[in-house]
Amino acid sequence: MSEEMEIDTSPSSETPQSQEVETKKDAKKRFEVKKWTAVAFWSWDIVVDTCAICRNHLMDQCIECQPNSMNGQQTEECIAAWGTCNHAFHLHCITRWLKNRNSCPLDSREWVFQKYGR
Amino acid sequence: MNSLKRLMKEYKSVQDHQSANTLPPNIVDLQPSKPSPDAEVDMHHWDCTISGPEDSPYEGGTWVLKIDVPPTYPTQPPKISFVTQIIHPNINFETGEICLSLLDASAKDGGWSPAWNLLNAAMAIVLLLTDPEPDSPLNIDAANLYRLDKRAYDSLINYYVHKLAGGVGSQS
Repeated sequence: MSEEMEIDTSPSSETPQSQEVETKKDAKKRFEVKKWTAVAFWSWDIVVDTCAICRNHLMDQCIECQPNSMNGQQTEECIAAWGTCNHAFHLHCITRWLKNRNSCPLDSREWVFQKYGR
Repeated sequence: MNSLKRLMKEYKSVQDHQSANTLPPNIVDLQPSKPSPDAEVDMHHWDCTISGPEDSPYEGGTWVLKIDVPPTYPTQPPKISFVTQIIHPNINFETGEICLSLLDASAKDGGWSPAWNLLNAAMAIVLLLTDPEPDSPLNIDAANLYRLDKRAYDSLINYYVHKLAGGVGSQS
């Protein structure tokens, strides 16, 4: 793994290499990369990250599934669902509302599923 | 029952607003009702107190609202009615029933959405006070007066604010 990481850094620029050649003339490296740890942060690319129906975070389970997981019962997966209006809710929450009316709770336009995910 | 869990969240949020003194204008109080001082709070029945907006004929009055939350909340809207009597084109004077599309699950436009909460609903009722909808009246006399004689309408409301809603100069 560390070898790959070192390869990654070398083609990035040319001037350091020429400098490296110069330092090699001194036959002594000033320092050597032994380990390199990358850290990345990510988040959903959406404006609202809380489900407006149950007020739980979209990456958490919906309010209905929450106590089940605390009891250690892993029931069916609780995933998020997006409409074509780009509003996201828990699939469980939006499904329950759609039985009432086929509209987005946030903009009241007609609801059309766009994608599902975690 | 998902309604109970969401209502607990709303209760906490309202309490935060109360302690930070950041409740919306004219929302005096909002909390689950207690059948008796020692009883546990009943999350499916709330009491709300609103005050009349400034520069409106309702200024100076306070009204108590009763909120009944169905077990299917927030898919279904809460049922809200006035306990204190009020003169308003969209509010039944005798029963306190409110005609507001936001509180109507079957309304085609501007109907209930599960994204609303009890505090939003109370704010919508405060807004209804200053912006009545005389085309869907529950108090036909008030609606007619609103359409035909705005000054008489204002003074009628003002009279009843003083008489029924604890306005300045009330004779109780």
